[in-house]
Amino acid sequence: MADAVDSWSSEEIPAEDHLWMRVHRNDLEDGEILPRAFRNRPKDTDGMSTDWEKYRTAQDTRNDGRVAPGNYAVIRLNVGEVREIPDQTVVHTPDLEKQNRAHTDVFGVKNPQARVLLIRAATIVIPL
Amino acid sequence: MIRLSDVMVRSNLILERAAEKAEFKKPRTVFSCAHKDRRVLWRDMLYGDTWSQPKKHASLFVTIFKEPSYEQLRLKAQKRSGCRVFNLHDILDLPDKISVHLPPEIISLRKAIEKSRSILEQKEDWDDAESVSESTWNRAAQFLMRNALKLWRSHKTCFDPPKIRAVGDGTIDLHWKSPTRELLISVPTGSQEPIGYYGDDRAEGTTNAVRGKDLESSKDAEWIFLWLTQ
Repeated sequence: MADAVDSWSSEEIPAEDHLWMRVHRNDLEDGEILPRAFRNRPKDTDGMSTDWEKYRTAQDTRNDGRVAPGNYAVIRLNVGEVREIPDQTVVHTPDLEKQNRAHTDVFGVKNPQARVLLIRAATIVIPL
Repeated sequence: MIRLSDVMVRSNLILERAAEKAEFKKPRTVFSCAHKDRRVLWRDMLYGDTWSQPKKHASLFVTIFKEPSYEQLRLKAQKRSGCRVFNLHDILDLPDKISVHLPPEIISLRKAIEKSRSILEQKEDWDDAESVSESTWNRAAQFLMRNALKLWRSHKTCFDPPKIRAVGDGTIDLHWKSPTRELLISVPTGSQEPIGYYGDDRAEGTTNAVRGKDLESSKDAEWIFLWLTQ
């Protein structure tokens, strides 16, 4: 097993790249994503966690949830489209604690407009 | 020939009515049986094709909910029109046998609201979820019913019931989605926090979208709901 890394620098993510995000089965209904899937955690002032495709696969993202992978679908978001949504910023924030170099936060208030537009920007790549 | 017993019955009746009038004239601050447990005899409004048409000579006992600021106005309106004037609690709490006389569109909305009460018992322990409080749910329910009634009164139409979902941070989402239009309303946890909203016609994109932070006090509410029904 590789040794744990003690620092990763934050990189600029190109607009054409994609992000993976887990969506819990409770946040899906009839195969559609509910607006509540998009929120900042654990607090409103924090960001919405995603993984940059450069360092992780969609399956890796699915496997990294709190509960069994079968409880999650994985969606893909285009970085450029996310940045076009008002007040949303995409920042590469590697997570040393969880040894996740792909970790990326989408900061900005997840108001109704942001959540509706995030649904439209999302594509389900691994369904339930 | 007038019998003495008839005169006595008649005079007793007059005295009773006078006492009753005097009792109701007393201000609310004075302890009075008239205000203590007021029950009013109303004519039945469940008659004919419309729910607001009174039925003559049929009676119904209904307990009046005490709303200090509006009860007097409501009583006056009811006396003038002969119809029962509902408040939001009335509509949400009406027994089914009465509510079937409401417009079908409002009944289906009311059922959806009642069904959504289950979100109060949801334990979403799969994440850092915060449960929804009864006051937030009440605010969402009353917001929907108030706008539905307003729209019904002004345009004789009603919007479809939304998806009513707990978001996980204690707020509630009201979400309408049709092939062409989408509207999301967010009811926050604090009673003073404004109700945010976003809606658009998907063909037009965000160009003519409606968005804002306070739908409760906004003039947008009426036409947004009218737009949804089209």
